[in-house]
Amino acid sequence: MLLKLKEITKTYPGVIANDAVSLELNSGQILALLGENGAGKSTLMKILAGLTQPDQGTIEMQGVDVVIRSPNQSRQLGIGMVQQHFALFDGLSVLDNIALGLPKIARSELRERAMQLATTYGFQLDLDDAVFSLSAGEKQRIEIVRTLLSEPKILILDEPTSVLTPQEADQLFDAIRRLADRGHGIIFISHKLDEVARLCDSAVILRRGRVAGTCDPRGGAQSEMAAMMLGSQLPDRTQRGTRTLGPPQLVIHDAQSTQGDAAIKSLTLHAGEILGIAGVAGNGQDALFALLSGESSMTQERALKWLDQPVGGLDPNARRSQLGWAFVPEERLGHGAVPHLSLTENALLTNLADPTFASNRLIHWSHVTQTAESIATQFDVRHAGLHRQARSLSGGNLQKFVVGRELIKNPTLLIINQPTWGVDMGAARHIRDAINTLAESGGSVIVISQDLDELFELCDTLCVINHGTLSPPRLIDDWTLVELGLAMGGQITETIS
Amino acid sequence: MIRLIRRADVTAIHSLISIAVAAVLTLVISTIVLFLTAKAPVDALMQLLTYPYQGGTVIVQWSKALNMAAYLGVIGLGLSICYRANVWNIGAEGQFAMGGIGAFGTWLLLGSPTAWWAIPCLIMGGAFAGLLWASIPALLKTQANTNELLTSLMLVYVAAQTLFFVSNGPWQAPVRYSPSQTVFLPESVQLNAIIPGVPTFHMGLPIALGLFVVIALLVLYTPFGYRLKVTETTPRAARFAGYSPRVTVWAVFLLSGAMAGAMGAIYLMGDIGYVTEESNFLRGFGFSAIVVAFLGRLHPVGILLAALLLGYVAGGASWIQANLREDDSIAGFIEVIALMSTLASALFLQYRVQWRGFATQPQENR
Amino acid sequence: MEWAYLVLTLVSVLNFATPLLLAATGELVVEKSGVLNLGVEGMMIVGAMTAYFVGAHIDLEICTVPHFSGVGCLVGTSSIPMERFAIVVLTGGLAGMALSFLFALLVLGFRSNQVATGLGLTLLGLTLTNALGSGSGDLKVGRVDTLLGTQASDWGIWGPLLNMNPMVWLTIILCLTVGWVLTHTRLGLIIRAVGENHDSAHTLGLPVQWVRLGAIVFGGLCAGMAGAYISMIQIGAPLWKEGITAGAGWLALALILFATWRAERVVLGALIFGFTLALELRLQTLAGLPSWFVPWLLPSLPYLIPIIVLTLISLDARVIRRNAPASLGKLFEPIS
Repeated sequence: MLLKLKEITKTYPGVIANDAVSLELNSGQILALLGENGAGKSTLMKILAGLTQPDQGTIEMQGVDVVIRSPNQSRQLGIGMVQQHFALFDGLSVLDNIALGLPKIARSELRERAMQLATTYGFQLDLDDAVFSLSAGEKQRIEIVRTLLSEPKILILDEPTSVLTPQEADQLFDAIRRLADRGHGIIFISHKLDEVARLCDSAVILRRGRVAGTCDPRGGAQSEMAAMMLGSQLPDRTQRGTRTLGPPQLVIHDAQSTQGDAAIKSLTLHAGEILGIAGVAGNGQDALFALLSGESSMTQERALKWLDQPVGGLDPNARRSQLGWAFVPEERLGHGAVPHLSLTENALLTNLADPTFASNRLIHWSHVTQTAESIATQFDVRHAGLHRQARSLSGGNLQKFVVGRELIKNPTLLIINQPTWGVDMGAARHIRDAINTLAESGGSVIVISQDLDELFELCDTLCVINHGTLSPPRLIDDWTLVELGLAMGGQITETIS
Repeated sequence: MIRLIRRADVTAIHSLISIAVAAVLTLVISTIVLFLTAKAPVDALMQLLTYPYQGGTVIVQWSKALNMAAYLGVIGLGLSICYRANVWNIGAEGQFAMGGIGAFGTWLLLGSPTAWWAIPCLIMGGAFAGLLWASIPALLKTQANTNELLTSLMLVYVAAQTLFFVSNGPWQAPVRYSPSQTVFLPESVQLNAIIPGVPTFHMGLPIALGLFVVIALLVLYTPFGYRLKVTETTPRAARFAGYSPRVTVWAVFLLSGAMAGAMGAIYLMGDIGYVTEESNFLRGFGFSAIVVAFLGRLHPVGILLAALLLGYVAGGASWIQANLREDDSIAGFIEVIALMSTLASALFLQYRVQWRGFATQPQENR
Repeated sequence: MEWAYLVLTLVSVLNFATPLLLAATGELVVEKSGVLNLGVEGMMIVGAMTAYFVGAHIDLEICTVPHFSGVGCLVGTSSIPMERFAIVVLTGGLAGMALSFLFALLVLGFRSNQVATGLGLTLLGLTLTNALGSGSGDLKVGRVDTLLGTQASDWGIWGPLLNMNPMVWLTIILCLTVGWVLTHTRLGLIIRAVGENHDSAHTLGLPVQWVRLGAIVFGGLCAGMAGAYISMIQIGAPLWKEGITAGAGWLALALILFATWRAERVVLGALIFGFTLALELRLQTLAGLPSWFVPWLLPSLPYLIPIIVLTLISLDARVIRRNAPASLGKLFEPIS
C-alpha cells in the first residue's frame, strides 16, 4: 500500500472542495481520478503536492501517517507530480530544463541518466533541442523525465492528455504502463472516459467534492462512469417550452482561422435559436470566439455568411455596427471590460462604432452614463457607484453588467463564452433568463460553455468542441449522455440523419 | 518578511497617498542634498523657495519659471501620450531640435517674409518637421518591429548634428558672432514680449498654454483619450473594442513629435531668434520633459503641476547661483530625486504592504 | 597596403570598442536575467568621473606643466603605474555599482517601471557628474603607463597595438568568459532561466530576485569600469568634461540588441561600432563627397548605423523572439 487518503476534507469560503474523500493506491496500480471541472480533483492534488493542508483527514504513506507541508517535503516523501501547466523554459534546451528542476548534478551524468530513463520508458528525447520548438507532448515528456529523475514512488499526472495528440497519448500510456510494471503507483487525473478505460485498472469518481463511486474501468464501463461523473441523469428540461425557430441567418462552411487554431466545418443558425458549444476548458474555445468575433482573421471570407452575405472579412466593430452582432468573451477583466476604468467608461467599450455614443471628436458622456444606468437597472447589477472601477465589482455583478451591455442593444446574434462561470446562482439565473428572452424575441445566440446543466437548460441545439474543431450540431434532445461524455473526451460520433 | 499584495481597487485616495509619499521623500532628500552641497544651506533653501519675492523682480522671475514650464509641459504632455500607449519615445529633444530647424527652413522657403502671418506658418512648419522626425521610429516599429526607444534616442544625436550642420553650412550667416549661427529672424517674425521688458514672457507662452489645453482636452474627453485609456492596461480589450495597435503607434508618435516640434519653433521665435549648434540651442527640454511626464503620473493635470514645479525650481537654482554664488546643480538634483521618489511611491498605489513577522513559513496556497 | 596604417586603424577601433564592449558585457548579464537597465550611460559617466578624481590623487607627483582650465592636465610629466591604475579603474567600477544598487532597490524592491527608472538613473548620473565635476579644472592627473613604455618603437608597426592598455584585451576575454559562463555553467543556466521565464523559475524554487540583484550589480561594475576607460585612456591622456561618454552607454545597449544577446556577437558588434566611431576620424580626409554632406554624415554615422543595424535585425521578428530573454522588462510578481 503506497498511499492511503482517509476522509480528506477541505473547505474554502462558500464551497466544500473535498468532502471526506478517501482513496487507496498500491504499488503497480494505475488509479484514475475522474470528475468534471470543479469536482475537487485539483484541491486534492494540491494537498498531495504540499501546497495546502486538509482541514480534516489523514494521509498515510506506506503505513506511516504523514503531513505534507511543502512542495519540497512532498518531493522528499516520494510524490512526483506532473502538472497541467508546465514549468518550462522555452528558450533553453531540453537538458537545461531538466537540470534546472534538480539539484546540482554533473552534466554528463545527467545526460546519461536522462537518456537511460527515456529508453526505459520509450520516450524519444533529443536533449539538445530547444524547448519552444517542441510539441506539447514532447514538452510533457520533459516534465515527466524531470519528475522521474528525483525517483518518486508515486507519480501523479494531472490531465496529461489535454494537450496531446492521439498518437502522443498512446506513447504516454505505454510509458505509464511500464512505470506501473516497475512498481510505481500512478494517479491519472482525467475527465476522459475512453482513455481511462484503456489505461487504468481502478477509478475513483469525484462529483461536487465527494467520492461518487469507484469502479474498474477495464472492460468498458464507460456509461457507468459517465453517469457517476455527470450525475445520474441528464438535466431536467421539462420546464422549457419548445420554441419555433425562424429562418436561417448564420451559415458557416469550412471556416478556418489564419492561425490554424480554430475550425468550423459546418454550422447553420436560425433566428431565435440558441446553439450550445460544449467542451472542456482548453479545447480552443478562445480561438473559436476570436474567429466569430472578428478579433482573429479567417482564411476565407465567404466561409462565414450572414443573411447570405459573406462577412468573414469584417472586424469586430464592423460586425457590431453593420450586422448587429454582440460578443461577450470569457475573460471579464482584461478582455470584456477594462479593470481600472469605471463602469460608465466600460459601457462605452463595445459601442465605439455607434454614433450616438461617440462621433469623431466627442464622446457623448451623457448618453454613455444613461446607458450604464439602464444596464445596471435592467440587469440588476449591484454596484457602489457607476464611477467606481470595474474591478471593484463581484464576478457575478460584473458579468451581469458585461452581458447586459450587449443584450441591451438587442443584438441579432450574441456570441457568449462561459456566461456564468464563477457567478453566483442568482446572477446566473438572471443571465440565463436574459439570454432566453433574447432568443424569444428573434435573436440568435451561440453559447460556449463548460457547464452542461446550463447548456441543457438553454440550448436548442448542441455541438462539442474538441481541439479547436466543432462537431456537427444536433438537436439537444438527440444527444445521449454517453455520446456527450465521449464527444467531450474526444470521440466524435457521426450523426445518423 | 514584507509581503506585497496587489490592490484590487485603486481609488483616488491611494493616488493621493502615493503622491504624498513622493512629495515628502522629495522634500526630505532634496533638503539633505542641499545641506550637503550648499555653502550656506539655510539661506539657499529659503531663497530657493521664495526667490521671486526677494529683490524687486517678481514678474521677471515668475516669467522665467513659466517660460520653462511651458516647454516642459507641452512636450511632456505629448510624451505622456506615448508612454500610456507603451510607446517609448525618448527622442523629444531631437524632435524639438528639428522643430527649430523646420521653422527656420520654412521661413527661408517662404522667401524670408517679415509679415505677421509668417508666425503661424513657422510654427506649423516646426510642428511638421517634428512630426516627420518622429515618424521614423514609428515607421521602423510598425514595419520592422524595431525597438523605438533606441531608434528615437539615436535620432536625437543625429538631430543635434543637423543643428550644427545647418548653422555651420548652408544657412550660415554671413555676418555672425560665432561660426555656427544663422541669421536672426526679423523682429516682426519673432514672438515678442507681452510685458515690456520681460523677454521671457512672450507670445509663445499663451500659444503653448492653448496647445496644452487643447491636447489635454483631447486626452481627457475625446475618443482618442479613451483609446489611450483602454490600450494602456489591457491591449486585449483594446483589440476587442476594435482598436488597431499599429494605428495607435503612429498616432502617438506623430502627435508627440508635432508637439515637440511646435515648441522647437516657438523656442526659435521667442527665446533665441536664430539656429545654432546644439550646445547653445538645446537646453535639455526634451529630456526633462520625460521626467515631467512621469512626475505627473502621465496625467495632464499632474504634468502641468510637475512642469510648473521644475520650472520654478530651475529659476530658483539659477537665482541662488547668481545671487548667493551657490552651484545651480540643485535643480537637476531635485528633478532626479522627484522622479525617483515618484517611481518608488508608485508602489503604494498598486500594492498593500503587509508586515508578516520574521519567521518564514510555507505559504498556504489558494 | 600600408600595414602600419591598418594597425593604427585597428588600434583606433579597439580604443573605441573597448568601453562599449565592457559596458555591454555587464548589461548583457543583466538583460539575460530579465532586467532592462537603461541607466548604463549614467553608471558609465559616474565611473568616468570617479576614476578621474581618484586618478588625480593616486599619485603624489604633481604635473609641472601649466594646464588649461576646465580640462585635466594634458601634458603631465607624472604617470600612473599599472597597479595603481587598476585601483583607479576599480573605484570607477564601484561608483557604477553604487548607482546600480539604487536601480536594483527601486526595480526589485519597489517594483518600479524599469524603463522610467533606468532613464532616471542616467539622469542621476549626468546630474551628479555635472555638479561634482565642475571643479575639475584644478586637478592634475597623470597619464597611465603603457605596457611597453619607451620601448614601443622596438616593436615596429606592431608597437602601437601591443602598447595598448591591457583593459582592451581583458575586456575581450571577460566578454567571452561571461558568454562561456552563461552557456556552460549552472550559474549561467540559472541566470538564463530567470530571464527566460521568471514564473517557472520561481515554481522550481530558483531565487529570482537575488539572481537579478547580482546581475544588476555586476552590470554596474562593468559600466563603471568602462567609464573609467573613457576618462583615463581613450583620449590618450586623462580627460574629464561634462558628458564625456557622449552616448556610449546607449550604444552599448544597442549593441546588445544587435548581437541578439550572444556574447561572441557582442564582441563582433563592438568592433563594428568601434569601427564606425573610428571612421569618423579617418574619413574626414576623404575626397569626392559633396562638401556639405560629409560634415553631417560622418558625426551622425555612429548613431545612424545602430538604427540601420537594429532595423535589419528586427525585421525577422522570430530572431528576436527566439534569442531575447522572454521575461525581459516584465514585472515579476511572485505568487507564493
